[in-house]
Amino acid sequence: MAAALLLTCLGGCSTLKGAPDALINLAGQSTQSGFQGKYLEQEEVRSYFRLDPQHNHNLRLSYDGRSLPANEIRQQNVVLIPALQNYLQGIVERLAKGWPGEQPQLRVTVTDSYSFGPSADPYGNLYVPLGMLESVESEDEIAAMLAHEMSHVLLRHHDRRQAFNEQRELLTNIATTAVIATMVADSRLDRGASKWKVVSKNPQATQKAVGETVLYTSLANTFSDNVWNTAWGRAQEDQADLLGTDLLIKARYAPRGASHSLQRLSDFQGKQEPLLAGFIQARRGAMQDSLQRLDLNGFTQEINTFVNQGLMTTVSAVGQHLTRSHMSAQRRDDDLRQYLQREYDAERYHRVNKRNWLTVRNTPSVKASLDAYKNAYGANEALAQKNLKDARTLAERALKSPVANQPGIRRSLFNVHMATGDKRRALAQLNAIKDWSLAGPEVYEQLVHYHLNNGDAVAALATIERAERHLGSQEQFIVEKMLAHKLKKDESELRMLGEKCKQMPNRKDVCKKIG
Amino acid sequence: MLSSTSYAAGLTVEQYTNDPIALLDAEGRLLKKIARSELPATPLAAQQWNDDLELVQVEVAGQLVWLDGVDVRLSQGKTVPMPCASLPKARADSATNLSTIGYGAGCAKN
Repeated sequence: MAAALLLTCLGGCSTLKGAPDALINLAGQSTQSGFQGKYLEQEEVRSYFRLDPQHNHNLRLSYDGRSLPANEIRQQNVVLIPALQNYLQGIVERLAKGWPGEQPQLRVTVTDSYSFGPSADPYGNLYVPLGMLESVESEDEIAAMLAHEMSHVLLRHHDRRQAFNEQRELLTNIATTAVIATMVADSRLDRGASKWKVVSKNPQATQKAVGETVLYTSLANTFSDNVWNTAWGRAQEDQADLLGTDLLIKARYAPRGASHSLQRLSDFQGKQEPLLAGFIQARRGAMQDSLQRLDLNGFTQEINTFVNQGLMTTVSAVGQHLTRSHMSAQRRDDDLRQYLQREYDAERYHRVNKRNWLTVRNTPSVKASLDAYKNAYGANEALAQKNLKDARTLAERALKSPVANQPGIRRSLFNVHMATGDKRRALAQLNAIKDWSLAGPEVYEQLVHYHLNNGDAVAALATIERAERHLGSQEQFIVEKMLAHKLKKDESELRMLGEKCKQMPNRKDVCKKIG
Repeated sequence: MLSSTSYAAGLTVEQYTNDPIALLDAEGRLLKKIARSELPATPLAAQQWNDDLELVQVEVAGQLVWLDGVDVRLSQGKTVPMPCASLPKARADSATNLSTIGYGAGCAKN
């Protein structure tokens, strides 16, 4: 069987590197079979009871707060619904009491994404996507998923996150690459009297390509963060399942909630495959379009190759991921059931409590906010179907809510107005965003490109400055920043940015062309 | 206690995930535990499904008994209602509750 699995994988994997991982994930021994007793009492877990004082210091990648690589920053908008936030934070605090060791800071953030799985970063941020909250039926199920994510943090799995980073980088960079390629391709660089000038040769076409890319990105991000989230190795997932279960039961939640969430994860992963395939197809079209323009504009083969490689690597990585993770949710559920029977035979029959979550979800402010985000998401979907009428209805409906001025809501209205060609009203939507610290990179991206396409370098730079401050990354928009300085004819700033960009592997090739 | 029992059309027990398995009454009270090897082969047709208690009724040795969902894997598990096989169409004109658009109700029917 193992040989057959290996052959299957080799047929679908572009490199040999992925094959052993896939095999281990499908056929390897489960972690729970390798020890006796509860996982929380194992020596390997006890070694994490003391916090490493150097740990957080080592994670701080930046002294100026802007040096995070673009692939490490939060990808989604933050959703602010105070009653919901407090409820989720309360669950985490209840779970954390079961951890016998020193407590790291754990903070729940709701994100504007219709993915299913939550995720955690090494700083103790637990990201809960709206899609998860739309799907779950009980507090026990929410607690199970939060306990799992907390366990990744408590067991410091991020210290071994090379594979995690590789997969995350591939999918999230693809859309950005398409936008950059389009921008660069459509910009003619004129050199007059020693000064460079960026001229958008076909502003309408550029705006359309960028708009579509951003639109598809917002839909695709729903799925991509699930890709990040499940990119852990098999052993790390097992460990988080086991510790999560121990914490869940110590907090007197019903452990069958964990089984419910794994069943949903399996269902979700089966459903996202055609969507991801569709996204990749859509991106392939946009990329080819961009590449043609690149050639026409006389840019070198170098960028062409760079873009192509990015696309191909992403396609194969997504394929590998889906093969592995789709199998693993059910496998994890099986392992967990065996662990529960072995260690918690009485508790595993406890019933979930559906009332608490229902009460919170139906609180007027929470319900109105969640409905608004659903409408905003529906508007994006309608736009993707070129159904402008429905898109407008849904986006405007989202405005009648307590979250009306949050980035995810205003973004959908921006998209609607851009689709009708009403740029002035579109801009007004983004200007209505009250708190830009909630915005994810794609909202900043829309505004930056809007200004660049209008030749407004000063406004573009002001937006980039705000993005750097809130997202903590200079890499994210360094190409756009260089384009803006070209527009301003600021040679010295351009040179300085060009030097900085040389240190950024995912941007340096494009920067070179601009500089 | 009233609970939501319904006829389980098409529902089957696909796998016994534990060993032994608890046989229960309609309220979820333990009748006895039985070794997996003594149970009928899977897939096993379900007679009824109790959503609140998460119990499935099956026939074992000519008797109707209930199994708990934690002991078995069913042909239909918990699902995520949101994603569709293709990007769904919004139906603002006909929908009475726009908040449901994109969550199954609006999925392309294909």
